[in-house]
This record gives sequence, structure tokens and C-alpha cells, in this order.
Amino acid sequence: MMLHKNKLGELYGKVGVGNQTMLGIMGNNRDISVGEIFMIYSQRDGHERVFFFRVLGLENYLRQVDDISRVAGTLMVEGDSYLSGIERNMLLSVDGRMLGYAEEKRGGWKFMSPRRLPDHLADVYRPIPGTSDVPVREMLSSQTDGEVYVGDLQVGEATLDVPVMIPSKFLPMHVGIFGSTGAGKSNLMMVLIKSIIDSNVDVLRGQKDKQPISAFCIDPHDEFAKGVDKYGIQSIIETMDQNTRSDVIGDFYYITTHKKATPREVKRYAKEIRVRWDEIRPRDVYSIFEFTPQMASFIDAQFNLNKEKWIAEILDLKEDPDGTPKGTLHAVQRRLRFLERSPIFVKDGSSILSDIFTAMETGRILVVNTSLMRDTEQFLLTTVVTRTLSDLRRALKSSGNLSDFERQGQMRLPAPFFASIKTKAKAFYGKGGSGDSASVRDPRDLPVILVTVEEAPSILNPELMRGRSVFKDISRQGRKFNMGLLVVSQQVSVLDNVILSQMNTEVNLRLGNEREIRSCIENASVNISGFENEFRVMSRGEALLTASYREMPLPVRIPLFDTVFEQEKGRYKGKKSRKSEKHVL
Amino acid sequence: MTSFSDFTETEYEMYLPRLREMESLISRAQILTNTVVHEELRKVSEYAALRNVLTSDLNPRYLLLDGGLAVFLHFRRKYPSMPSGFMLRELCTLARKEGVVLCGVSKNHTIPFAHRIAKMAQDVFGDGTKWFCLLPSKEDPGGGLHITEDRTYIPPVLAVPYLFSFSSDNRPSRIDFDRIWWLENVFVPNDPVATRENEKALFRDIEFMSRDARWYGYPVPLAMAHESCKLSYEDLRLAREICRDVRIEMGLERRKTDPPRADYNL
Repeated sequence: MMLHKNKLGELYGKVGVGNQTMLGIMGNNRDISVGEIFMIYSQRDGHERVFFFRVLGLENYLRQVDDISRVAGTLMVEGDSYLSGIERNMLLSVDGRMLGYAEEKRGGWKFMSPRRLPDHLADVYRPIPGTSDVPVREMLSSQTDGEVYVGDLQVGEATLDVPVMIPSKFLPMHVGIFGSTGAGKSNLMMVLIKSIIDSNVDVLRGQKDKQPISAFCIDPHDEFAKGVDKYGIQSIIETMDQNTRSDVIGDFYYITTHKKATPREVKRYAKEIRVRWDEIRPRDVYSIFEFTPQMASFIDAQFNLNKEKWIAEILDLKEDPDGTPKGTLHAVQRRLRFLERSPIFVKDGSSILSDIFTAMETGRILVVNTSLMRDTEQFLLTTVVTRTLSDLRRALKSSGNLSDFERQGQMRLPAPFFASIKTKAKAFYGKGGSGDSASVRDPRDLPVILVTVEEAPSILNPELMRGRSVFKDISRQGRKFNMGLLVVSQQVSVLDNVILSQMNTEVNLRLGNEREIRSCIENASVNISGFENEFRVMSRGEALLTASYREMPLPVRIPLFDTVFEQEKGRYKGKKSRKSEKHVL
Repeated sequence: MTSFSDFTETEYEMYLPRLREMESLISRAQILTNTVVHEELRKVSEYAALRNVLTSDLNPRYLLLDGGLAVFLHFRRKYPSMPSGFMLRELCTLARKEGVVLCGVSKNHTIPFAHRIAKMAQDVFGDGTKWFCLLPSKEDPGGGLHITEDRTYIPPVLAVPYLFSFSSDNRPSRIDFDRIWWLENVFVPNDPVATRENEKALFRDIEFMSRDARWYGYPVPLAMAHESCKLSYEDLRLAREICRDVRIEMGLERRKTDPPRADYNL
């Protein structure tokens, strides 16, 4: 026997009825809550296994009493009645789902989908924080490992010291964060940003042999930098020593519409969002507005005619050109007119797009304050950034050497923009030099790029995704370019099927209504049918993490950003040895 | 086992004379059907268990039996007609000696017009009252009840029966005491008030035993004993299964052991 059973937790009960999916356990009359995870030790046919079981329903059970209601009624009516020696007959009948089982193979634990059944009347253990953490961590390592920390494994109302992570290699297969208002999405985003920064710090210090992760994080309420309570991303930046800071965030991490309105300490790391009209392509606007075929062909014609100046030309036109159905121009102008009033989309002047590109290709985090933007501006910005980055990686993927890349880049990207980043791009993408003949790197060796899509239903809805949306390609092909979407939404039901079917990791927080719960369960990458009741009782900060590459749906408690920051703020200081080494040099 | 000769040369041979003597005392031999024999076996087993309790160091105050204390007698009323009768009387003597109150509780009391007695109690004392009612015999002061005149075993020989009800939801049950013990400990000659006080003290104890919400109105020890030894349909099914396995192991012919209704999916 390899496993110390007492390390699993306290002996709670025995397996009663059930099958490989659902089990009934008869257990002690303890204060059990829905959502708790039990471990069942089984040794059928000499195979030592630990099954994981999640409580979905509870029922009081009195041995030798068929009609509990009648007994309760008698206790109520007959004032002198008692129950003699009943304590030992008071049990809890626990129903729940089998999550899978762990089996030791070749010195390591392997986790399998529920396809076997625990032994007859097998012992059931209830994990105890502080005792069960290590064995659970080991047994579930294949289910919880990764680079990006999300939270800790939740067992009912308590958590075990078992960190739940998302592997960075699966980020390009898109992540969904679903939860109603107040479910904890903002805190989760901040925890994720911190995890990405932590992972990048480890990579830069050579502690992890992985690619860094870049993230373009939309912050619709401007709360990531300063935080909701005490600390924010700015606190992390300030805790870093000079070297770590310049390695991990470069010279800015915060981009905003109005730099002047930024708090002083954040301003040092802030840049203003400016995107020139000539960096916008027709596909970008197709991704955020619905256009009739006539309007789209009019825009395409104008783009072919005027290239990068297409927006300015359209907005300057006074009447429908020949051959264009009457009213088309006005309809298109009405949709594009917001660009004239927009503080961030400018006709000419400087642009931040090349800085965003540099940041994303060097493994950095960008917090994008969109609180002062209109919806359309936010959507267009996300679209332009996503399309620009993906087109560059697409150009890279289609090239054999840097000369090919230059050709591909010129073909796919707006000329002024490409001209401004060409040299840098060659430096990032070239393998062993930046000469034309130098071969190019595989996108999988470049940083993973994660782009947040906030209020996702506004742009990832079936109507827009039916057209020539930028996001349709990304959702299908992002993996090839090592680029993923982080889809944040209050609703699942209104998202397009293309994105839902391509999504491989979902963080399901508390949801608003039955329809969303149903959609969430249908969309989950692993079977979580039967978890309806769980969603109904979820609290703020609790989530169910499902991933196609994992067998087990993982209940996670997302800690408060302030808590994890306080626990780990020491890690951002560089090692002393490094400092002194620099001094000697 | 078909005859006494089967015992020869076994460890039971020494008991043969006593067995023959006992056989001679069984006066109901002519009606020994399977059911009667099974009932008798159950009774003697229970009495044997009871005897074990009385001779143990448990020292209970009360010893409760499921069923009445009736002893069927030879028609000339000289002695009990079955071995269980002898055992019960011997138990009564032993209980008296040990200071244990032996009582038999029967839910099926066979007392005529018990519901009328219950109704009268309800009318007099009100709803939800806990009551008991002595069913006197001809020997008691005031004589027996005319409703039991034609009933040979009500009251049972050498027993004192009471009807009682501790819950208005339940039909009344009967409880029997050993008459000799009753005469010594409850009945006070020429003093009905003192007798009633003794009865009340006795029933106060029994009533206190009967307040468990699971079996309200029925003594807990009997209820628990019933729960732990009753045969459920599932138990019977398992017993049939075991019986079938044993028959197969013994090489006996296969025989259906399920009840005949199972043949028709009933």
C-alpha cells in the first residue's frame, strides 16, 4: 500500500449506492455543505485508487425510521416525547457526482475521467485543510498545474492549499470568464494579471522554461491599476526593484484616453491611447457594426481606391458616388462619424499601436482604461489591436525568412503602420539576426498574447460573427499564432457558437439566471451536468473551472487581490546577489 | 430427525428420559401442525432468551415480552398443554425471586369491545389522556366482566390483564402481569385506593418507557427489540437465497423457494 489513508482527511462515511457517474454516500451527521469534495479510497482488484466525489445534494437520514415527517410531527405534538439513543442512528445521505479518480502509475499520480466505480462500501474521507493539502495536490497535479494562477481548490466552504493554474500553452485556445455583476470578475482579472506578471517574472529570472505571456487587458471601470480596495497592479509595479520593473513592464503598462486625468503615481507608467485612422481597416469596422452588403461593397471600393485614407475620404464625400445605391454613403458615414468626435481615433498625429505591438511581442501587460471611452471606441480599439497583432503573426507564419515576412507584412498591414514597426518586428521575429535572409521564429516560441474582450456579447454575437469579423478568424486560428482571446461576459447564451466551441478554458463564476446557468453547463468543456444547484448557491469569488484538456471540473475560490498581493509582495524584489553583481560590473 | 432413537449414541442421549417425560406432558399433540410447532419454537426461544437475562447480572427492573402471558392448559386445567407454558410459569417464579417486573405487551389484545372502553375513557377523561384499565377476573373483588364471560383465556390463567393507551392516535394495547406477583406487589386487599396508587406507579414507569417519538405510546425496549430482530421482506428474500444456495451445496433437488405469487409476477 502506497497511500496513507489518514492523510486523505477524516473518515467520513461509506459508499452506498450509485454508478460511475452519480454516487450515494452514507455518512456521519456532520455539517456538510453542497460543493464539498470527498475522497473515496478503493482497492478493487488490487488497484489502489482515490476517487473524487463532489457533493450535490444532502438528506437527513434516520436509521430504522421510514417516515421522518411522522416522527417530527410526533415530537411537535406530543410535548413529552423524546428520541432515545437516536444520535448513532442519525446519518447524512449524501448524493453527488463522481469527478474522476487518481491512480498511481510509474511513480506519479494519473487522473482519469470517471469510468470506474469505487469498491463495495468503500471508505469515504473528508479532506481537512492543513492535513490533506499535500496528497490532494499530488493526486490532482495533472488537473491543477500550469503557469497562470486562478485560485485555490475549494472543498465546500473551505479551501485547500492546492493552487489551481491554467497552463500558458492553452491560453491561445481562448479563455472565457462568465459571471453576473458582483460575481467577482474584476478581482479575478486582477488576480490573473498578477499571475501573468508573476509567471513572466519567473521566466525572466530563468526559473521557468516557458514563453512569457502578454496581455492586453481592458479595464472598463479603471480599477485594475489602483485596485478596488487597498492594492492594485500599480502596487506590484511599485514593489518591484528597478531591474525587474523595466524587464517586466518596460516603461509603461497603463494606457488611457486622458493621461492628464491619471493619478500621479500611475501617470509615470501611462501613455495616451491614440490610433490613427490609417491604421484601421474595413474589417475592423465590420467586426463591430452590422453593414448591409451594399455598404460593405461601397467601403471595400473606397478602400481599394484610397487605401489607408479610406475613412477620411468617405467622411469627406458629399453624395453617393456613381453606381452606389442612394443612401449608402449616409448610412456608412453615420456609422463612421463617431471617429471624428473620438479623442482616441485621430486623423493624423502619433499612434500608440506600435508601442502596443512592442509590448505584446516582449511579454508585457497592458492595462487599458476604457472607462472614459464609448462602447464603439472600446470595441474598435480591441478589434484594431487584435487584428494588427494577428495579421503580423499571420505574416510571420506565412514566411520562410525575414524578406518574406516584409513582403507579407506589406501586403497584410496598413503601410504607414508597417513601416513604423518593420525594423522592430524583424528584430523580434528573426532567428539569429535581422538580415533579410535570416529565418523566422515559430510563433509558438514567441510570447503568448492574450487579448481581453470585455462585454463580449456586443462583438462576439452571432450577427457580427456571421460577417467578416476579425474575431472569427482569431477564435479558429489563434492557436497557430499563439494568440488567444480572454472573453469576459455576463452572459453565455448570447455569444456566438464559433467562439464558444473554440473556447477551451472557462472560469464560470456566479451567474444571473437559470438560462445562463443552462448555457454555461452546455458550453462547459467538461461535462458538468448536475451542477445546476451549485451555480445557484455560489458566492462571490467562487468559480467552477472547466477545461477541455482536463478531466475534472475544478471548484475554485479566487482570493482577493489584496490578500495574494500581501502574501507575495516579497517576490518582486530582485535577488541581492544580482544587485551586487551589477555593481561590480 | 424422525424419532427418539436418532438420539442414541449422541451427546443428547442422556436427555432422552426427560424428553420422553416432556412428550408425555404435551397434551395438544393431536393439533401439532407446522404453524403451531413454529410458534412454539419461537416462544421457547424467546423464553430461553428471557431466562438468560434473568440469570445474568443485568438486573433489570422490568422485563417486557412481546405477546400476552396466556398459558394454554390441559383441558382438565391441571397443567400447561405445551412446554412453553411450563417455561413461562417457571420464568414468572424466577422473576419474582429476582425482583423483576415481568410483563407481556400485546398489540393484538383480542379483548372484546376494547374500542368501547377506549371511547368511555376518552369521554370521561378527555382527548389525549393516557389511561389504563384493569380487566378483572371472577376472583377479583366485584367479580369479572360480563363481556369476557364466554372467553376461556380472558383474563388469562394466572395473569392480570390491563388495557392501556398512551396516545390518542393509537388503538389500545393490552399488558399482562403475573397474577402472583400482582397479588403480592400491586393488589392491596380491601383497599382499592392503595391498589390504584400501586397501579399508577407501575403504569407511570411503563408510560415513561413509551414516549419515543418513533413509536409513541409503545414501550421503547420492545420497539427497539422489534427493530433489531424483525424479518423484512428483504430479509426473507435473502433467507430464501441462502436456503437455495445451501440446497445446491447439499446436492438436493432444485426447488423454487420464491412465494408462488412470484411465478406470476405478482
